Amino acid sequence: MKTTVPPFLGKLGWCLALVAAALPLAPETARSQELLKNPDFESPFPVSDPTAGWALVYADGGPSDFAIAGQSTEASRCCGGRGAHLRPNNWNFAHAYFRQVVTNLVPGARYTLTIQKMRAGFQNYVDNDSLRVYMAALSGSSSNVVAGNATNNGPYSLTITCAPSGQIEVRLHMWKRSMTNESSEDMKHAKCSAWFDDISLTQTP
Amino acid sequence: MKTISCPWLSPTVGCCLAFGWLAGWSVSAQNFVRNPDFEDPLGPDNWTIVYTAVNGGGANAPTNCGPFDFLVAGRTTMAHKDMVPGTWDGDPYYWSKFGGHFAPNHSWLMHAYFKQVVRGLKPGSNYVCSAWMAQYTRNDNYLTKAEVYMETLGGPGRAVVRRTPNVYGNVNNDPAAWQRYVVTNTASENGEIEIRLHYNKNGSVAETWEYRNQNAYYDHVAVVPEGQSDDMPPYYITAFVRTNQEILLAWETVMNNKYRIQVSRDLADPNGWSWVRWSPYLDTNIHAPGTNYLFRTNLLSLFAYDPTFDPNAPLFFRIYAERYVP
Repeated sequence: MKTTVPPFLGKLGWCLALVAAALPLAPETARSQELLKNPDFESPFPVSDPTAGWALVYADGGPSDFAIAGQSTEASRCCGGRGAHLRPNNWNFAHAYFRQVVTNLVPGARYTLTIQKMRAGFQNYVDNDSLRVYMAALSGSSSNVVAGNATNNGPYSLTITCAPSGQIEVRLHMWKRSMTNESSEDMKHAKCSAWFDDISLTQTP
Repeated sequence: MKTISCPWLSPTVGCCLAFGWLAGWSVSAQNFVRNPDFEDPLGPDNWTIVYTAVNGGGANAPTNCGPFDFLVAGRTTMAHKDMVPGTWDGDPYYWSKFGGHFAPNHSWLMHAYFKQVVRGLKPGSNYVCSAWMAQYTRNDNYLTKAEVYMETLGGPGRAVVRRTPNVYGNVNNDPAAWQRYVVTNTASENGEIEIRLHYNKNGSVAETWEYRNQNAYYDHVAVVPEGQSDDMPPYYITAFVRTNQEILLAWETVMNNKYRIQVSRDLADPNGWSWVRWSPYLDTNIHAPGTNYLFRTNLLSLFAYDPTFDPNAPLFFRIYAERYVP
């Protein structure tokens, strides 16, 4: 997603707004701070280091099994930007996910993961469990998952407790779990997109 | 026909003689575009792809498209325009196979263009800029979903923009729908004109997979001096060396003109000339990328297709040239 600065706020207005926001809320700032890198998917990805941004993992299949595995305009929630997009390239099984590892967190603290858009492209396949589009958070031996569908964007949220490692891994999955029975007039695999945009990880107050 | 002196070689292996041979002596002009037919891989010295913001398309039109928004953003044989539309450019003229091609990768909006800064022009002079363009779709309702056009930037600071109308010709089962679009622009103070071949999809398509049925094609892009009527000057073979079975042949070329090599064993026989074809499955046309061409090969390899080839017999070569046709 792409956002713009409200035109009615000049430099002075921004300064006043920032000072006003910072003074009374300083203790809360650490908790509400965005902990993910590239949460709106506007910067280039995938990256090789999952602690530096969104990395790509092929769980079943490889690069040629995916028509899209990165940014696209179609995945954007709104406003002319881009979002994260995974889409199979053939009728066979396909599973990939974007992965980011957040470090230096507070062990034992609760964290909230929220995504504004997580949408599947083909509700029939969601209904019969042939297509899973979901977001997961992992920390130590704990994990939590929430799934999306093709009928609405969300938002979706989950919470997780940070392990002693101080790390939480976030994953955004597209898993096509069956071979598609299709023809040139009905390329079901082309419907099996997973769109993600505007995700946030913050410490739960 | 242009002949040059015969460079004598080792008497034990016979004489090789080289000629230049002009052909296609008719109206033409030098084309300053590099890789104008997309026959070579795209690269920074010819065409680059620029992903940009969608023009039109409403409040949420994308402002920054990228490679994944395109199923095809490059060159394909599918996008090739035959010299005579509908008639395959088969042997012996199968030298041009590719065309520039954009196709969307999803149902939403995207915009990109092929870009080339054409250099070496005369500052302040007018140039005729042209491209063959078409769309390919099985549904004419999709034609207006995308703006396909050529834009040229010339004049001082390349600030003067001249663009073609949008392309709505659909070449699906109608090769005659290929159309050549022409605008005139002026070379900048640096002798440059920038060419942009646009695909701006600013309308979505409801059917999930129908994005695959939307294509934009571009081929035979040209920037030629306005009013130039001919550019097939006499040319010379500048080097001809034989070392055992290795030969080196170099000759002057006009960028983008086509050249082929002919061979004969008997200079006295006017019907003895034949095209060199180092394999019946390989193209024998040479596409000149600059002002000189260097051809080096092994004779045994070159004539592997000919069981009667005698490496000790005299051989004569000549170079056939054809002008570039925009």
